[in-house]
Amino acid sequence: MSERLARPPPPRLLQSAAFRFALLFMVIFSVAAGLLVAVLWWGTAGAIDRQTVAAIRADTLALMDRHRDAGPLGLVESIEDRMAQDAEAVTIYLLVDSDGRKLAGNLEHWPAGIAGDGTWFRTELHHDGATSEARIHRRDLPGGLRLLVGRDESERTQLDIVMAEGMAWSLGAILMVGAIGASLVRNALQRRMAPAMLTAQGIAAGDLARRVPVSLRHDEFDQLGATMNAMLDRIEALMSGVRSVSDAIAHDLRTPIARARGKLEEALAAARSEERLRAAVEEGIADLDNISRIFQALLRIAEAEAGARRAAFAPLDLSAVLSDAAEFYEAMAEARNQHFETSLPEQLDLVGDRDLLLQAVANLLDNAIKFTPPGGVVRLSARCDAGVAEIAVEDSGPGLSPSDRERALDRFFRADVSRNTPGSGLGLSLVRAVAQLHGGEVRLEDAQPGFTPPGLRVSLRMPLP
Amino acid sequence: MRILLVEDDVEVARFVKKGLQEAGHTVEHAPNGREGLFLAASESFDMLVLDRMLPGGVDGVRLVETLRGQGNRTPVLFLSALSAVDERVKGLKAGGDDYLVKPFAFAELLARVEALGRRPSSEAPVTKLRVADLELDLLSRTVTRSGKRIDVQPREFRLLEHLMRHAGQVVTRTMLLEKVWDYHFDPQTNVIDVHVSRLRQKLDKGFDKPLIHTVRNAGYMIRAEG
Amino acid sequence: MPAAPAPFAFALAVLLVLPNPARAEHQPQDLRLTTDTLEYCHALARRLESMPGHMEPTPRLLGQQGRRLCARGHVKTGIARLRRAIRITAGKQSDGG
Repeated sequence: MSERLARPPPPRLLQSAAFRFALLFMVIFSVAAGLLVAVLWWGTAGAIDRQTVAAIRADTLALMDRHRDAGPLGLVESIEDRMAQDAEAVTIYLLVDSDGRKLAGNLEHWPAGIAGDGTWFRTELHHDGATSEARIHRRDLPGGLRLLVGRDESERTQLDIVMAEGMAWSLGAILMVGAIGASLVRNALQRRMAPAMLTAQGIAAGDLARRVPVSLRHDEFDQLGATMNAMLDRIEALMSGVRSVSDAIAHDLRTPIARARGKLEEALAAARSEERLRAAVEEGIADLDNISRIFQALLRIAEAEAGARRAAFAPLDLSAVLSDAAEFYEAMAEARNQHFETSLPEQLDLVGDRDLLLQAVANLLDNAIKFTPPGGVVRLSARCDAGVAEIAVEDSGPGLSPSDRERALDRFFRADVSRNTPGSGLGLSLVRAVAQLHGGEVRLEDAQPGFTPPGLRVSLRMPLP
Repeated sequence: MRILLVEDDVEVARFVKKGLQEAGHTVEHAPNGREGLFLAASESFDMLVLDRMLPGGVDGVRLVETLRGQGNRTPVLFLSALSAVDERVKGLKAGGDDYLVKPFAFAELLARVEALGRRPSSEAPVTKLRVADLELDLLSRTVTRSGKRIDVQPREFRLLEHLMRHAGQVVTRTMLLEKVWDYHFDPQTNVIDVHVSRLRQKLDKGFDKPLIHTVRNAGYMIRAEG
Repeated sequence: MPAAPAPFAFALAVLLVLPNPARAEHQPQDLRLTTDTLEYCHALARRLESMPGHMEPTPRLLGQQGRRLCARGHVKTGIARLRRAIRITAGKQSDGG
C-alpha cells in the first residue's frame, strides 16, 4: 500500500504532456516559418529565375530574326557582337552547323544528350577556373543550324546558398528555443500541478481534511483545484452522513433493542402461561418492527442529509402533492374530531424530490394530529412569497417551549410532555434534512402567540429556482 | 402455486419456504442466482420470489433481466434489504412485479405472493366488479349495494376497487398505501385503518352482513360472508 | 533532443523541394566557356581596334587597361574592360549612324 501511495516520479520527457504541447507548438511554428521562407524564395530566387528565362527567350527570338534577315553570316556576326559587349560575362551562345561544327559562340562544344528543338535545360559550366550553373535554351534554325542561348546563373546559386544557410540557422534557433521553452513550460506546469498532486496523495493516504490551495490567479489550475475541493467537500459530507448514521445506530438503536430484549428475557423467565408467553412474543415482534422503522427513518435522513437523493429531483406541483397528503390525513383528523383546514394555491411549481417532500409533510401532519386534542384545529397551508415556497402546518396543541424548540430538530428529541405518545422522535429531524436538501430551512413558532395553549407552527421554507 | 424461492440466507429461506408450504404452495429453493436462473429457465413456475442481492455473480436484478430477455413472463417478487426508492425503481424496471423490503412480516409476503400469483390471466378489460350484492362499475365509476347507490369519494373508489380486484385475498396496509396512494414511506400511524373504516361504514350502513373484514396481524379482505 | 529528427527532417524537405522544381531536367555535362581565355582577350582587343571610334578617350583608356590586365594575367577583369570599351564604341557608332 505505502509503495503504491509513494509519490509517482515525474513523467519522462516524452511522456510529459507539457513537453508534448511545446513540441506541437514548435512544429506549428516551424511550418509557419517554412511557409514564410517559401514565399520569400518565390519572390526572390523565383523572380530572378523568371527574369533569366525572359531574357533568354527575347535574345533567342532576336537572333532567329537576325538569321532570317541576314542569314548564317549575319547571325554569327550578331552572336560575336553580343559576346563582345557582354561586360557582365553572363551570356552563353553556341551555333553549330548540321555537321556539328562550331560556327560561333563561347561554349566549347555541343553538349551531349540534350533533347530537341525548343528544349530548356540546366547544366554545370566551367569558366574562370570555377564551376557555376547555367540555364540554356535550344532552337534549331533552317539549314541545319542549331543554336543554344543561355545565361550564367551564379548569382541565383549564390542566393540559394545564402537562403539555405539562413534557413538552417533559423531552424537550429527554433529547435533550441523550442527545447528550452518546452522544458520551461513543463517545469511551470509541474510546479502548478504539485499542490493538487500532493493533496490527492494525502487524501489517498487517508487524510480527508486536506484541500488544494487555490491561488488568486483564477486560472485553469485554480479552477481544477476549486473543483477538486468542491468534490472533496461533497465526499466528506457523504462520509459524515454515513458516520452520523452509524453513530445514531450505535447510540440510539441500542435503547429500543435493549428494551425489547429485556421484555423477551423477562417473559422467558417469568411467564406463567403459554398465553402470557405468546403475548410477550407478539410484543417483541412489534418492538422489532418499531426498531426497523427507526432504522428506515435514519437511513432516509442520512440520504437526505448527504444530498444523495438530489438525483431524484424533478419538477413537481407542490400543491398537488400537498392536497394528496391533506386528503390522506384529513380522515385521521376527522376520526379524532379535529378540524382539518387547508389553504393551498392553485399551483406551486417546484423542483424537488416528491417522495421526501411528501414524507416530510406527512411527518408534520402526523405530529400535529397526534398532539392536538379533540376539537382542536390542524391547518396545512402553502404559499409562494418572494421566491420562497413555504409549507406550514399549524396545530392547536400544547406547542413547544422556546428551549424545547431549539432541540426539537435534533435526532431522537422528544419533549417530556410527549413521552407517552408513540413515535420515533425522528420526524422533525427528517423534515429538517429534507428542507436542507432543497436548500431551505425549518422554522418553529407559536401558532397563536399569546394564547394558551399557543399551538405549534412548523414551516418549511424552500427557495424557488 | 408452484413457487421458486431464490434466497441465500438459510434461515430466511427455511422460514419463507415453510410458511408458503403451510399456505398450500409448492416451493423449490435455490441458494444462489446461478442455480435460481437454471431452475427458472428450465422448469415452469407460477411465481418467483427473489432476493435482490445474491452471491455467485448473478444477482436478482440480473436474473430477472435474463429471464425477461428470454421471453419468460413469470411474475417476480423481489425481497430486498435495499429500501431506497431508487433501488425499488431499479428492481421494478428490471422486470420485477413487486418489491418487498426486509425485514418483513410473513403475512405481508404471503399476501403479496397471492395477489401477484392470482392476477387475472387475460388482459381483457373488466368493466364491473362484483362481490356478493356489492357492485362496482368501472365505467360510470359508481358503487351500488343491492341496487342501492352508495356515494364514495374518488380515493375511496380506488381503495374499494383494489380490494375487490383481490376479493378473497388478504390485502395488507402497506400494499394499500403503495397501490392506492402510491406512497412509499412509513406514515407512522394507521391512517389506512381510518380510511378503510370510513369506507366500511359507508358500505355496511343499513346492511347486516359486513363485506370488508379485518385479518388480524395482516390486513383486510373483502369477501361475501360464507 | 530525442524529438528533434522529425521537425529537422521536415525543414530539410522544405529546403530541398521548395526552391527549384526544375531540377529534374539538370544535365551533368563537362562544358567549358571559351570566353574566359587569353586568346579571347586578344580577339576582343583586335575587335576593338577594328572598330571606328575606338580612339575616343574612354574606349581607348578602357582598351589599354584591358590589354594590360590580360597581359598581367587578370584575364577576367581584362575581358570585362575590353567588353565595356566595345560596348561604348558600338553605342557611339549607332548613335552617330
